[in-house]
Amino acid sequence: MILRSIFSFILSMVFMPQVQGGAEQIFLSKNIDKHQRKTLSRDLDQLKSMRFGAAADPLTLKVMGLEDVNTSSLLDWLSDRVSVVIEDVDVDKLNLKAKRFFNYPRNAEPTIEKPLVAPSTGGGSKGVTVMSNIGTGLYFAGKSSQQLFTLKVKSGFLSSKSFDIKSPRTGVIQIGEGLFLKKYLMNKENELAPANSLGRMAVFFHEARHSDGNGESLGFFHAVCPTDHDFAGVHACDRNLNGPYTVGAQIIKEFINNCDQCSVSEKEQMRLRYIDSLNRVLKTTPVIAETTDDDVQMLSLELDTQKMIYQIETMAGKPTLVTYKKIIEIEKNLLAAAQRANAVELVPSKYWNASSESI
Amino acid sequence: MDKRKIILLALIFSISALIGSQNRSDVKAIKVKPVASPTTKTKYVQTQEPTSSEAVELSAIEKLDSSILKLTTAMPSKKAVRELGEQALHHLPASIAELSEDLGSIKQIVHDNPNDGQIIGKAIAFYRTCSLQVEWSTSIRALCMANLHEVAGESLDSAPVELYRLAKLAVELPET
Repeated sequence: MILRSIFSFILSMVFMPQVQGGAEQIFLSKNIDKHQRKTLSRDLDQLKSMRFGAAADPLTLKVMGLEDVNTSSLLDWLSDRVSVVIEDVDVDKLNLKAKRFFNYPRNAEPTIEKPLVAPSTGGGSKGVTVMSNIGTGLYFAGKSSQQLFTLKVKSGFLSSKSFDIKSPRTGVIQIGEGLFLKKYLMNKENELAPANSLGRMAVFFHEARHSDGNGESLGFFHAVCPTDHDFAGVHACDRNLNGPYTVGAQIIKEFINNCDQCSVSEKEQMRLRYIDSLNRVLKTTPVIAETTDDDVQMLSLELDTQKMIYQIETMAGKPTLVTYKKIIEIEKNLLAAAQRANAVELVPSKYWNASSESI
Repeated sequence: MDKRKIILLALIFSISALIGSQNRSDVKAIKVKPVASPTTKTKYVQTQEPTSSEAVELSAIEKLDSSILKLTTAMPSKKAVRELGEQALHHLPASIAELSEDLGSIKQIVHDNPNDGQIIGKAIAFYRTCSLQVEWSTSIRALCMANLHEVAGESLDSAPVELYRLAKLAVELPET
């Protein structure tokens, strides 16, 4: 009898899912580093215990589709878009199963901008992963290849939990050590300070937005920042008014408004993160209209030629920095010439459809 | 007394001696603690405790100088930031996040010493210089510009369009 009880106790301990986040519906994989899992759980609990006394910014409500900003509405928003958080591993190392599936919605392809990739100089450093939403990518890969992916995530010593990627809203978030680096902390002396948790939570909300959208807006994929931008040439901008960077900025604004325990110094650092996010929201996109201006026409021709040369160089496996720089320079000159000729139309960015598609 | 008894007694004696010596070292350790702890604590408190208003001012000024020096020497250029690559730029670049602590520190010092002319003057000078650094990231410059407006009352109107937009949004945030 006693032996049987001990045996069943051991069994229940072995098969019991051992980790749950602060927001009950968000599942944290057992493969996540113990310290990171504990920190993330604490971050979710921090959000849970926060009091939102200040009136919400109407823009936050509009962008996030909320009626009010409070603990419950924010946690619901998050858990609607994130089901599981996993460790930082390459996608080919994930426990993924695929089966044929043909019933995906037939709609437009999402907008994925292609940057002009600079030739590798060998000097660039590989950044560490902070957080990324791979659920949308998996859904889109499944949709494109007519397969349904199922992700198995470790939930206990011998148990696992399966997640069918039937929608980008399945929300699979990867976290890496970057999210927990000391240099990212707003309060380096007290790692448990609420401001540190809120900083990480803002990143979480940003990533959760990638679980939204359908058809063209699927995944709210980032745009390539324009040539005159701080982050020119990389996918670090949004060409819409309600994408991940806007969500991130608005949530930081709400945190600044409502964090009673945050110091002036911490709120100033939050303000920098707020501005940094907003700096990535492209309000307009300059489009060069048809014109008879000689300079514009000549530069357009020159640009096409250089782009073709660069394409040939790339195909030959030897893209050169000289051609790359020429293209960037001509693009700048072309825009300036078009502005002088009044041939630039500024197309305003819009709100994208945030409703999510699913099978 | 036979040989075995002598060995046994010697063994008992050495074990007792060993236990005794350990007890003594424990006693020593206990004795050291109460003497050492308050001394250290007192010294710590003494060095931290301000002796006059001048000490507070100097300490704040030193902190301010240190933060300004760190920001002006370590701030990465836009070019350096761009070279970090896509993965590092998805969120606030780590090199800027690290320095944001000093921007926070300056703001805190200004907040804590609103009537100190020297501190306010130095902070304003830094914010002005920072807002004009074309090689620095736009978000840093915009934050400096917002502070310049808040601390020195300077208008944002003459700022370039993008800086103006961002600084204005920063200023509209509730008073920190």
